[in-house]
Amino acid sequence: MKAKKVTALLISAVLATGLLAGCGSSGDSNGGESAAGNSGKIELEFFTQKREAADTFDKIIAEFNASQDEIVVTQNIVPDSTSVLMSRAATGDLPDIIQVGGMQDSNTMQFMKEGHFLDLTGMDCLNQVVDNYKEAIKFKGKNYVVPISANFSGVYYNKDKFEEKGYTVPKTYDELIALAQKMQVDGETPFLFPDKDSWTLVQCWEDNIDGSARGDRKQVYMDIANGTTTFQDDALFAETLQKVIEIRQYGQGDTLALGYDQAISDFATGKSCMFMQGIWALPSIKKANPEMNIGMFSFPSNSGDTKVSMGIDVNLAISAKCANADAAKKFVEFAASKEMVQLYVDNDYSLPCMKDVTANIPDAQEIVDLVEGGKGALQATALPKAVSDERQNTIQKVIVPEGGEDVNSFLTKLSEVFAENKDEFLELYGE
Amino acid sequence: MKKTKLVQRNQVLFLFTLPILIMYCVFFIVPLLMGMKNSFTDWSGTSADYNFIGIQNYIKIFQDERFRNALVFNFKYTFLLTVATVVISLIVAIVLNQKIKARGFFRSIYFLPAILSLVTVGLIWNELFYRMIPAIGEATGWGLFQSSWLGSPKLAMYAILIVNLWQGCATPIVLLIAGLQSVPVDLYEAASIDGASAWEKFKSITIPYLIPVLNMVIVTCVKGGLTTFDYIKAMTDGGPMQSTESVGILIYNHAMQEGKFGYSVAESMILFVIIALVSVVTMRMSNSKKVGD
Repeated sequence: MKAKKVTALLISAVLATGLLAGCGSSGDSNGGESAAGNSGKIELEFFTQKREAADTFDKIIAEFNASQDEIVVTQNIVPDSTSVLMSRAATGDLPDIIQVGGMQDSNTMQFMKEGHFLDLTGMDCLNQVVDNYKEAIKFKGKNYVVPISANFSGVYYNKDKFEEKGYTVPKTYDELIALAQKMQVDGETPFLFPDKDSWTLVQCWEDNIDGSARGDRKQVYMDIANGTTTFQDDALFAETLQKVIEIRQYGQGDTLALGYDQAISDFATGKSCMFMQGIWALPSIKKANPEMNIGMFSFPSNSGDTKVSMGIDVNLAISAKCANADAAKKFVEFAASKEMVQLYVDNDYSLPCMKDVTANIPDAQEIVDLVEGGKGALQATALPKAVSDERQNTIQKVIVPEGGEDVNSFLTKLSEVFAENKDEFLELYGE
Repeated sequence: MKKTKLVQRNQVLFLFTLPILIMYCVFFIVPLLMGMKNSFTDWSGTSADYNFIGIQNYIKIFQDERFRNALVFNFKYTFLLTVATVVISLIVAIVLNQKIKARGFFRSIYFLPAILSLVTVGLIWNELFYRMIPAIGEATGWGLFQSSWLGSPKLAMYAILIVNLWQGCATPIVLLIAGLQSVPVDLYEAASIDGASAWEKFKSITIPYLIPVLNMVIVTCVKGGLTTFDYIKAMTDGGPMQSTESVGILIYNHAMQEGKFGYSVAESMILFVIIALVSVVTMRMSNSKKVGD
């Protein structure tokens, strides 16, 4: 009996030392300042939500910690970060510096609305933001976030297939349809649509087709909220949704059965010529088939005056309750400096939000060129949650041939829900 | 003297149950009461403050078509699941209880699905439905197999049911085999001498002995069917077009994605009452046929 107890104690002791050792080594990797706690330095917590960005942020943090000797920043990354952040906000214990999503993300908006973020207006790095985006990132005339990088949607295409069959990248919508028809004649599948995951369907409409034709959505949402137009009366919404339905006939068939992950592996293994998604799918496609030659173009509009629908991918914010706000601002300035943003976008296939930084995405060069030519439209307006939920929950009905819903009644329902929740929208974006 | 001893013994026994009783209260009763409180509020799940809105959530739920559809789905699913589980497990158990070749091998084969994790099962069948069903359709020309069942609002429920049965029948089969082995052989012999047919023997001897096991199988099936969540989450996530949205999925979506925490708690309260009622009824019904009563 006694022997057992001793063994148990020993095991616990070994486990405990193991844990401590683990902590120590992770501290080391964060800049070799493991003894910082007792040397009177300011300690800051940096909370990352984007898992893929953790390694890059580790590098940035290490450089920051080495560049001065007053502040030590530690990165914290947890599974299911949204709910962690929500509950920490509810208990008034937000991390000092938080990486949040863009202004098109309703969670980010909720935090701003509830006053969880520090007012950053007047920080130097904000002058460095690309001029086109400067207004879009403000909330009620003030700055609460510093944008680092932006993502975008488009149409991936299989370069090898295009070369082999002599296809060219379409410039207008009609050219795209003609190309898709030609592909079908050649026995190829033009598109893969993972409509089983309804968010991909929403994104196909909202960003890929509507966004590339319309550009910034803020004005039309304002008009709907003010009652001067509706989803069904706006010419573009009905037209673009109709296109969503029309291009489904060039899909793999049975689109409601295919999920996002399956679609990525199918596209990577050459089962289709094109695939509409955001840039975030690129790492997964490359992982599924490292040898593949990929290109990407923005979904062409009728006239050929195609824009690129973008959203801010990574924003930095500081908690309103941060005890060392000046130190936190110092870190944000550092992370938003030209060199660091360059380091970030080079590792992340994303577009920089700061001036004098070059995007480095050879697989999407066509889109990068468009954005650098001033065709990027940064989406910074979030629909009321009830509207986006309604849209995501019912959009599949529009694309099923039987027992579904027509475009007009779907759009009318969206307008009704918007009208019920317009106060919520006007409170956020109204003048 | 004897009585005090009994009291003392009961006290000791009570002390033994105390730890589990406390844990049950802390981890079950208390959250239940806290949830009940939340169901009377408009809490979003994250906001620092909320308002008490009385029974408004409940009123809204009873008018909510989405909730009604989910409830209908639940009942349909539960009924089919329970009937199919009992019938399939009973047949397989009886076959596996005969003196057939490689009995042990077959018994393990039928139990195999039960040891796989649910999400793995969901992912495997996702691929099977997406890639195999159309292939069968192409080979045979049957309209039913033209496209994946998971993509069809009409067939998605049956697709989920098939997967649920494939995995869910394993444990009932084992339980029923054990039950079958507990039936005294001499009863069958006596019945044979009296000239009973195979069906009569099955009906009057086998079934009554299996009632306790069947009872448990039915109750767990009903409960599993009414609270069904994981298979759907792994395979269709309530789609296509909300055709497989069970109450469990609806509660999750309302709480975690649509920011209506109070509303979703009210929904789970209603589900709780329904499950309690249905369980009592099923237990009453099947208990009345037990051997020896």
